[in-house]
Amino acid sequence: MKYLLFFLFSFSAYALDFKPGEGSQFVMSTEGQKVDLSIYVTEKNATGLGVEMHFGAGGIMLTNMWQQFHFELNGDAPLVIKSGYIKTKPTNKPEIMTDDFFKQNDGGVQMQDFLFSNSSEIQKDYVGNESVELPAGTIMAKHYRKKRDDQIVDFWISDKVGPISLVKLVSKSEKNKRNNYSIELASLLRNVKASINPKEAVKLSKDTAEILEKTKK
Amino acid sequence: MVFPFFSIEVCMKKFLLVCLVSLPFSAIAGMSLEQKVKMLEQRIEKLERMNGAQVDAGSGLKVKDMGQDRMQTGLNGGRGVASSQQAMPEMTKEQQEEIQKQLELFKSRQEESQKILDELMKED
Repeated sequence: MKYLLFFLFSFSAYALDFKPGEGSQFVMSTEGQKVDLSIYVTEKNATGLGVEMHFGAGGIMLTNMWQQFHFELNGDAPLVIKSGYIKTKPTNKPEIMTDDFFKQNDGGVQMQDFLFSNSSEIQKDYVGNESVELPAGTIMAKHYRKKRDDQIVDFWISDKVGPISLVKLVSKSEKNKRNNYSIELASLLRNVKASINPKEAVKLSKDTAEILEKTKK
Repeated sequence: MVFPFFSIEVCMKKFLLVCLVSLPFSAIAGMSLEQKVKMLEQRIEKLERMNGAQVDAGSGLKVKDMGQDRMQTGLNGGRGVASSQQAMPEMTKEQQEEIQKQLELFKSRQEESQKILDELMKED
């Protein structure tokens, strides 16, 4: 499900200026638990875009996990993931993710559903303009709805919010409980330093591969 | 004028006492938990604004400046809504204490009010 967010990036990839260190922090509610999800730009040049995500949860056991992806920018063509990295503990070295973890194969709304060559492609899913109340504040946003199999994803996008225009997302599914979750914007992020340095990355370990396998299901 | 069982004056006094004690808090006491939380959230937002929390000029939404820190749960800068036990990381210790005091005051007044009502019920 985390992939959904990535590809909302592509919606605004050509419209907004991606500045390293800028992003959004969301609060994600899933299966009765709340997780902080931060997404921010790590680098931007003429041909590529680097994006890092941090998953954090409080409580007795603090949880931290970072993932970094590098996208290829090629004119108006959809974004393509070139490489991915994962770090499971602050003291661990980042590990190189293999291609199979970039894809989601559980049916439902797929990541490619969000790979748009232009914004007009999403217009068929447009529901209307709505005022959305968020932990970050209240904003007018465009409401869209995507369906595949029994998964319904409602999401709200605002052009005023950058670099990630997503402000809210609600996914519902009766068949697959893992597809029941919601994401709401908690705050915009500025001046975030990347936690993953791809130059330090090592081969994916068996333990980390198992963690990723679980998140794919 | 004296009634066979109780005087009107006593009744009036009791009624006035109950009104004086309960009315100032009845607005809060009648609120649902959701409304109370909403009220406290508004108060937190107000205090955050007073504390100089940043707001994005274009969207009016909250902004968290990490000052070139890494995102990490457990560190002050990296705490978010879910990972913060108190869900108000931008507030100073004094402001948090003030809210705590107000909550305690509310609780004690509610208890006081209940106590008076209980006593009045016994007397009757």
